[in-house]
Amino acid sequence: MASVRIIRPAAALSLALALPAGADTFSLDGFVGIEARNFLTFDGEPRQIYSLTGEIRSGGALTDSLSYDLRLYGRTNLDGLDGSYIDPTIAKLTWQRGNWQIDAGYDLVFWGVAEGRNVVNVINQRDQIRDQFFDQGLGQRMIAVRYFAPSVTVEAFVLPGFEELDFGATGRTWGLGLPVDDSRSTFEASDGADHTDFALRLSGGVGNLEYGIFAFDGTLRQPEFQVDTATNTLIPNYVQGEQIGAEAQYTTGPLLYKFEGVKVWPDSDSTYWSAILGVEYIIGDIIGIPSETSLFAEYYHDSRRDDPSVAFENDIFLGTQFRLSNTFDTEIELGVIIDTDDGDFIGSFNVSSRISDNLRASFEYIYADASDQSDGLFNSRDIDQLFVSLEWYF
Amino acid sequence: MSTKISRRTLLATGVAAITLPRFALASNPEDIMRKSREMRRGLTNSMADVTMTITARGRSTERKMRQYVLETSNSGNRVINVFSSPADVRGVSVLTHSALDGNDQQWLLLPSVGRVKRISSSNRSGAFVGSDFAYEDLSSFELEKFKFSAAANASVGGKTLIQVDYAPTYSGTGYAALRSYLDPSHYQPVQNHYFNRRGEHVKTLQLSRYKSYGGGAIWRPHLLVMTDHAKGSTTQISFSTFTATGTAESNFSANRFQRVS
Repeated sequence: MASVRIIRPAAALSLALALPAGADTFSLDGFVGIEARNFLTFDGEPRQIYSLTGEIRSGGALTDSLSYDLRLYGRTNLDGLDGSYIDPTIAKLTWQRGNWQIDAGYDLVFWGVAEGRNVVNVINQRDQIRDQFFDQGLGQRMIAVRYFAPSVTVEAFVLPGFEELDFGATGRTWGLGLPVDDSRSTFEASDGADHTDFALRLSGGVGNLEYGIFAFDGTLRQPEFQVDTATNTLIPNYVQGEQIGAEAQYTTGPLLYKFEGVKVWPDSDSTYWSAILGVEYIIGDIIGIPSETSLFAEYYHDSRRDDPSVAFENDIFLGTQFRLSNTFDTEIELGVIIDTDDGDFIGSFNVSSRISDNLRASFEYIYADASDQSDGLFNSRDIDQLFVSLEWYF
Repeated sequence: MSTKISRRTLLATGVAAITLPRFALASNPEDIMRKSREMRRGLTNSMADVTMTITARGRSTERKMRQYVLETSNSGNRVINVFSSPADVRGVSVLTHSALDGNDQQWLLLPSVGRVKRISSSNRSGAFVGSDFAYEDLSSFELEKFKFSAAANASVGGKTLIQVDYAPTYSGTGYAALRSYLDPSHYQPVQNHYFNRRGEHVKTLQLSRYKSYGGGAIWRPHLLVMTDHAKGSTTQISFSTFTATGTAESNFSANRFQRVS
C-alpha cells in the first residue's frame, strides 16, 4: 500500500494554526472529493487512477495586526498507487500595520496575466497532479515582506527550500516519452531542496495598464531531465540560476492585451528567454443565452528552438471560456496549443458546474496529436485522458 | 384680519406640504436625481452583509456576500464584494472602481490559485452571478452616466410619487430608458422600471425597508426585489444594517483588496 507523503514538515504548524487559541473570529470550511482519471492511449501502467481528495481552510484575526490563514490539501489514491500527499498550500501568519505586511509560513503566490500558461509564475512549484496544465500551485515556504504604496507594491521574498515537482504514481505518463523516477532527483545546489532562494518584485497599475517586474535567484522550479538508460526512466535534475521577468496587461473595453517575458541565466547552461503575447476578448450574451464568453489567443516563444525537451517554443494557444449566467456557475472551456512549425497540438475540453448547493462536478478531456519527433510535443501523444471529479463543499 | 389671513396662509401651506410633492420645488429631473443621490450618500465607508435569493421556475438559490463601499467625492464609489456562499466560491472577491463615464475598473480575486486578475467590465448588461440584476443595475448611481428627460407627479398604489425618466449614456447598456418613482419624503426610489431598445418594460425593481442613518440625512433601502417580466423570475437582495466602520480606505485598491474578507 502506498504511503501518504507529507510534502513538507509543516503538519505541526498547520495543526497549530487550525486551532488558534486566541483567535477573535475564525472561519472553517473546505471540501472532500473523488476523482477518476483514465488514460486513453497510454500503453503502460497505470491506465486508471482513482483518488480521494480534500481540503481544509481556516482563517481569522489573532490580534488587530496579526492573522492566520490555513489551507491544507490532501489526496490519496484508492488503488494503492503512489501519488498520495498532503500539501499545506497556505499555512501562514500575517502581520499588517499601515503600508507594511509580513507573511511567514507556507503561501501561494501567483504572478502573470496570460491564460494558457505563465512564464513569470516562478515562486510556487506547480501541482501537476491536481492540474495537468499547471494552474494549481504547491505551498512554498517563505518570509515575504511587502510595502504598499498607493499604486505600487514592492515585495521581497526569502524562500527557504522548494518543493520538487510531484510525478505521482510510478510509470504514470506525463507526455515526456518515458516514465519519471522522482525518487532519484538530483540538485545542482549542494544543499539540495533546502537551498534558500530569493526574489524581488515591483508591481502596480497606471490607469488601464497593470505591470510587474521581478528578479529571482535560486532553484529553477522546472527540472531538466536526464535519461537513465539502465532503467529507461527520466531523472529530474534541478539547476540553480537567476532570472528576471516582466508582465503587463492593458485593458480597454472588452479587449485585454497581455505580455509576459522572462530571461533565465542557468548557472551551468546557456542563457535563454521565453515570452508570451496574448489578447483576450469579452463577449456578452450569445444567441440570447445569458452568458459571458472570453476568447483567448496567445503566442508562446522560447529561444531554445532546437531543444526537443522544450514543448512550447513557437506555438499558438487558442481558447475560449464560456460562463453561463446561471445559478450553477457553469463554465465550459476549450483550448488548444498548436506548434506553428508542424501543426502538432495538445488540447483540452473542460466542463465544470455546481449541481447542488454544495456539490460541484467537473469533466475534462485532454487530447494530443503529434508527429514531429524533433518537437517537445511529440511525446505528448500518450497523454490523452478523461477526468471526472465530484467535490462536496462545507 | 391679518391674523386670520395669516392663519389661512399657514393652513394652506400646511395642506400643500401634505398633498403636494416636494419635488415641485425642484422639478428639473436632474436636480431631483442629484438630491436623491445626495440623500443616500454620507456613510462614506460602510459595510453590510448581503443575501441574494434567486427564484426561477419554482426553485430558489441563495448567495451571500459581504459588501464594503467607499464613497468618493470626485469619482464613483469603490466597492468590494466578498462571497461567502455557495461554499465553492467562498472567498472569491470583486473590487469595482465605478467611473463617472460608466467605464468601471474591476479586479477579481480567485483564492483557489491565489490570483488577482484585472477583468473587463464591458459586459454591463450581463446578469450578475445568474441573478435578475445586470452588472449595470448594481453599479453606483452617477449623474454623469445618464441623460434626464422628464419629471412629473405620478400616483402609484394610492401614493403620490415623483416620476423621473432618464436614459443611460454609457456604452454597453441593455436599456434604452429607465423610470424611477421616488418617495417625496426622502427622495429615494421605491420602484425602477427598465425598458429595452424596443421600448418594452422588461424589468421592475422594488426598493423598500428604508432606514435612515446620520440623524435622518442618509437613506438606504434594505430590500431590493428585481422581477424579470420576460423570464418570470425574481431576485431578492436583502442588506443587513450598514455599519459605518468598513475596512481601511487603502484596502479599496487593486494591490490590497485581497486583505479584506
